[in-house]
Amino acid sequence: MKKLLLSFFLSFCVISFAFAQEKVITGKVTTPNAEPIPGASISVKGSPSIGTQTDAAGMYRLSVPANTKTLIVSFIGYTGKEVAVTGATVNVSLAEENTTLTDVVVVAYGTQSKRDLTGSQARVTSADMKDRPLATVESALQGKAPGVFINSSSGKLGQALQIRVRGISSISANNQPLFVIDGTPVITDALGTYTEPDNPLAAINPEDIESMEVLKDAAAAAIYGARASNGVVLITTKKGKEGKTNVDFGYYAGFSDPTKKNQFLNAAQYKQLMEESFKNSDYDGGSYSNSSELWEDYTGTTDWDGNVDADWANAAFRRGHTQQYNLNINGGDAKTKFMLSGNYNDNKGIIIGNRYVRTGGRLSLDHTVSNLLTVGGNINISKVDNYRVSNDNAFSNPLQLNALPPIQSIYDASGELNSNTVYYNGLIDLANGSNLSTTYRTFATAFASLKITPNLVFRSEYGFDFNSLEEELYLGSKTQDGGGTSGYGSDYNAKSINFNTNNTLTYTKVFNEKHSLNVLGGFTFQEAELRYGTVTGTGFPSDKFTKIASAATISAGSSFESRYSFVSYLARVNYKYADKYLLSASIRTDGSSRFGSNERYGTFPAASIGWIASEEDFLKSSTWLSNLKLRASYGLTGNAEIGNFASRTLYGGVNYAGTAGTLPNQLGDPNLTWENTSNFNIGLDFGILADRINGTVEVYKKKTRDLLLSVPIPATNGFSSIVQNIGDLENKGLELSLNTKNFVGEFKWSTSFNISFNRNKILRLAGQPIYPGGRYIGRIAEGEPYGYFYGKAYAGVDANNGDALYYLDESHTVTTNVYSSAKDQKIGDPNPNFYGGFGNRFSYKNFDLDIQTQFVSGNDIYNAAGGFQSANGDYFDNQTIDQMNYWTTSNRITSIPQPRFGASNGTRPSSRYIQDGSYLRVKNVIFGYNVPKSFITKYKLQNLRVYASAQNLFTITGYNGYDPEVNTTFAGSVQLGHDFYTPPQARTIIFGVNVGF
Amino acid sequence: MKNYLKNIIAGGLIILSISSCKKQLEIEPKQSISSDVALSSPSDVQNALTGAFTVLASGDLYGTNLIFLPDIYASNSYLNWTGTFSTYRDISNKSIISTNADVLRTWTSAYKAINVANTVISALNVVTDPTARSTIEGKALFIRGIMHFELVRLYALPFDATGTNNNLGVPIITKAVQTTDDIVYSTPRNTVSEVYTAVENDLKASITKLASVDDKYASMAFLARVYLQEGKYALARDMANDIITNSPYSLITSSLEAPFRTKKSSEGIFEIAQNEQSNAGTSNDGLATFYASYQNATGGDVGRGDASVNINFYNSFENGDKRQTELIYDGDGAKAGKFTKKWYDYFGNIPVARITEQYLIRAECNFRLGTTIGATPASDINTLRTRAGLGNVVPTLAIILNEREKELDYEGFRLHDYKRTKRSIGSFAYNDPKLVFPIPDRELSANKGLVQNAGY
Repeated sequence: MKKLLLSFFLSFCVISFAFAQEKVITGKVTTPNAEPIPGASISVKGSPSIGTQTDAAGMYRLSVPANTKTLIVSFIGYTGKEVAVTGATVNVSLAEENTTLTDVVVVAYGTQSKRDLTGSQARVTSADMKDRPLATVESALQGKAPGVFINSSSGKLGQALQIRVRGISSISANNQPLFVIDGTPVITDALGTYTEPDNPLAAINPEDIESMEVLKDAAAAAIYGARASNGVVLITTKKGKEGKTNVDFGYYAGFSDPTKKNQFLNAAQYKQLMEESFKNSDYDGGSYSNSSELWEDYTGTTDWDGNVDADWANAAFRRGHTQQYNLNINGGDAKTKFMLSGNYNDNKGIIIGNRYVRTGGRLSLDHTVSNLLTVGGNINISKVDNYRVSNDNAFSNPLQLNALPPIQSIYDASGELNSNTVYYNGLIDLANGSNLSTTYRTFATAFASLKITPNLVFRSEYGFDFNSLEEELYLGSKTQDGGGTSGYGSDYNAKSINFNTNNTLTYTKVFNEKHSLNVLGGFTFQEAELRYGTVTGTGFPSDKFTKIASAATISAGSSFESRYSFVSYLARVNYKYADKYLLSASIRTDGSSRFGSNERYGTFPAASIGWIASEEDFLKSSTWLSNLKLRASYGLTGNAEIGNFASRTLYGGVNYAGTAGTLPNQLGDPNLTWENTSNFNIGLDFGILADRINGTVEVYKKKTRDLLLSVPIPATNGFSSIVQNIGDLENKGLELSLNTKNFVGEFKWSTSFNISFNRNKILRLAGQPIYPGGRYIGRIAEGEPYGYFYGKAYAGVDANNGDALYYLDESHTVTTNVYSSAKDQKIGDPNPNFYGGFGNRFSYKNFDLDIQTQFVSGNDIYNAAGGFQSANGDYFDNQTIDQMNYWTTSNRITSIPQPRFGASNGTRPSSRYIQDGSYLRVKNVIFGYNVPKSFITKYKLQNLRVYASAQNLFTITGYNGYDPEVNTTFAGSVQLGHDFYTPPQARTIIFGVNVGF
Repeated sequence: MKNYLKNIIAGGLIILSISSCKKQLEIEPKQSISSDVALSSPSDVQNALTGAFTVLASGDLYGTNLIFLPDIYASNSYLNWTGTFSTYRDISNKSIISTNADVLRTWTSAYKAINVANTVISALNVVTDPTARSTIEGKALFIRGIMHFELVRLYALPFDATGTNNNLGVPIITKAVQTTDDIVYSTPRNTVSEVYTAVENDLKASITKLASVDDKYASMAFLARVYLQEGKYALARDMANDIITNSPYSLITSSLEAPFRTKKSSEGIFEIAQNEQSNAGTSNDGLATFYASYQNATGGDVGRGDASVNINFYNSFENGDKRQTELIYDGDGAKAGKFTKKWYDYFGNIPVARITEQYLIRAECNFRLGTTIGATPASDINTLRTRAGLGNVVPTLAIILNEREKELDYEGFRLHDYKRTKRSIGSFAYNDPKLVFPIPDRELSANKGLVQNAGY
């Protein structure tokens, strides 16, 4: 054994000795400003295995064969260089990469030079996600990607974001874009039982993401066929890089607060308002002689005569805390590259009881087997503990605590939470219950790439996306929902199993130096399955027992299974002539189990052209114009995001107190087929002064036909809706982005600005308008934008008697105090006129500052809770402070009607509760300091960065509610821009450090 | 040559993967079954009929609303709604808007039950056994009949025994919708008179079909109720007398609570069955949810206590009336106040038609007609008063109606009884349009054949 070791040792000596006989080159790699570049790769041309990296001072030392003529020097973000070996010292200065022109971007089923793109796509890279406390990866697109509208909809953690790429293109089918991670379409549908969907993407660690590309037009997206109408987001994860092993560690910690709290009445104000209200209703129509009696009979308490002043409105909030650890190790050689990362993120939310903890690990590996074969893959495992909050519409939603009268105490005399409140004291749910959703997500991909000939590559990819969710709920014997049954427990286990394979052949060749051809053909197959089992139990021995095993009664149990599959064939041709003229065409045929056998297949073609005008002789010599490209595309995309069996009439099993039966649960249209969207896009890319000013202007028109529509039918048919291909809608818009480098010297300043305009219009609904009504006012009707607000127009208060008035008709000339006589009409539009972002980055020496703002303009918000909380004392709910300006004989000119208990004086759904929801928000501010190399090299560190970062630092808005970035989701997809006791966003401030070893 | 070989392998791989995936598009639902196999055997048809009862049992119908709405709509000096649901508050205040969610859900589910009944009737040819076939048909007709009856009473002006009843009723639906081709996009409202005729015909046919089984008494009990609503006192009286005399149902004299606590009690001619796994709800729906307010053995609150007994009604009971002392309690759960004990248990059966009602029908009709078929009015009334711990009286119509009100309180009779007897509810005359539900707004926009009620 010893001998063996010795011989090993000797052989190493011999090898080193052998190299030592060659020559040694030393040198320094620097930026044009002579700053050292650490970690740059230096290798011998023709022998990639002989290489090294620069140290922290940018220095390197490399032994090379005596005949070495050229070194290759590269570093990410800089233009690589080949330098001739002229002596023993070779110093290299690398220029910063001109990213706009030479960038290689990820496209569907491959990569492409950005310069050659003819489609429309927006990009966000890891730099845009760095040092930010992102709750979920896709939120990084907000304000950054033109044409992508994101509404976080609620301040609850782990909830789905609403993402709309170029408007809403469907009414009843899903409107979320397709997410593709490393080639595999992933499942983003909520798995849980909540009416407010959870967000499977939140399980992904943003630090693992290299880039996100949003494919917007047909040229970019139509190759995803039946699922491309809502846009496609391609997420590419980080991979290992050749060179020395890097160890990066990041940590941040911070705190968060609501972006805004609302002011509600205190006890004295409340009693003043309610006294007025009771009195004006003659103490409930004469049933009582004073407020105290009325109160006691209605509420069963004597709180009216007490002297409590409780702050229920703020009881829902707390200061949140967040922290994250992140470790990333990557490196590799010419043959094998790896990346290993781990992440722990703990976010204790601003709403009591709300917490989101994510732990994850990831391994990525690429290996070159031979010149012909490359294999690789990655595996990502994460666990999420999500302590959820009830949906907005539940009494146990902490935000609904603001409805409780301030004259009722939070705790009773014995120190227990007061259970004798007008509305349920939701704090009891937290104290006497538990509610945890745990997600385990495994995401794995593998690929093999085979070079059949130098021009022909076969690539096979397999992706596996497994998501498991367990919801465990216990509501104790003191809670509203568990009290009546001596405790209530439920356990829900869901599994989503998604398998995908892509197999493509790519042929690339340049003919006669002028004709560049890239042909792709392929086949993909995907099968996804959702299964769950759930059981609920009641009757627990005591609240010490919370597992269903201890329940006396198993009150419900169920299981579920559903599957769907896609079989697809795709092809694409990219042709470029003389680096100037671009032509591209793609086609995809999708087959899906979701559609009837007659309509099973759909075909989605697209074609596009591009002209790089700046390459023409007459512009090439221009000193100021560095890039000018015109492009146009047209194509078809589809939407298949409906129920798995929507085309069938189905009977489900039902239980009638122990007797089994069946019940029809849907009426299916056997001719149901794909929803089709035609996309037309024209784009102009330009660069001026060596691209110091660059930008893009795009106009588009999307028309969706054969909408997959849940058509309302008369309920007298026994069914109230049916999914059919009915109706057309249109989105058209303009997107503009502009990036400038204002200063490029030692003081750097760059600016990015983007703005998007989208106009949505329903062109045809063969059936009737969709108007769920009730407390909500969103409506879908021909000639109007999706979800426009419809109802009674509020006309203020009759100065003579305090009656709420409504306009009789659209002319707004005559008013009426009879709600039902007023004509329903268009009273608002929740769709923004425009939205976008504005960012500035500054850096000076080792300091840098990044300020990103985001804005939305022209959208209306309807506060569906207004009829409760801003209702001039109509009922016992505590009121917003503005209600104190109510009508009295001495305060006649006001917009707040006279308080009349139970009389609904102006409290019904109307434009009274509509406000402009425009806002400008300072989304992110990051101030960072990179500790000088000279200092950290003493401690053997590669880099050290400290920073402070703020998210949602402040918001400018005219909206009176909590937060203008709101959209309660429980009320259904038609109800855009509705606020209903919806928690605000968090303002988060963190302090962090990144260390590279 | 080497590359050529690889080409073949790669091409072969692709072809292999394509061909093996064709059949992968054939995926059958696991959770439900297609309609073409759902009604193909006698047991399938029986299952579909059971399905209709689950619709009846939902909170939209007898699980809550068909019992609750007639009482909360007539809440004046009777019931206090202190809950947060503004849909019920509006109904209580008679200030309903046409998008009211409870008005909508009851309409929608009633027609859903009707469609299932029609579907069952249309699938009867697979049931070969004549007895089974007859029973299934009789129950389906029962469901169709009582649903039309409930709808016409809530969504149309009241039936007037002395009028023509040409007011708009509700659409009569007798054709099953099983495929998209069956959908009817414009269905007009039939007149009140036409609806009552259809209801009578369905219930009469149902009684014939169910002649050999006790289920016929449910149809008879409802037909008696229909006749009474129409002021056809002789028919109502005879039907009630038939039930009292010939049915196996009888009054429970030992306990007033028993009909509501005991499943399939001897009083329950027609009950909605509930248990822990199948009930109208325990937190946002269900009669006990709204009506109950007490603490259970472990200190938890049962019910939301949203609907309490109005003190005026409570005080209107005679001294010692057990219907007050035993069936009304002081709430100590979610809310304080007086609460009815009829709806006390989340999982108890819901008696929709009790034999008690038949005694009251017989008494009232005999009195109105001056007859004594089966028993004298005094005998019937005093039977009930004795049970309630009260002494005998010599009945007048007012006394009989008062007994009826006390006996059947909070069981979904008040609105219909006040309209029938042309009594005002608060300041609203019995035929005030505000005492008629609006046709749901969504129905008006989906069905051009409909006309809205006055006042909406």
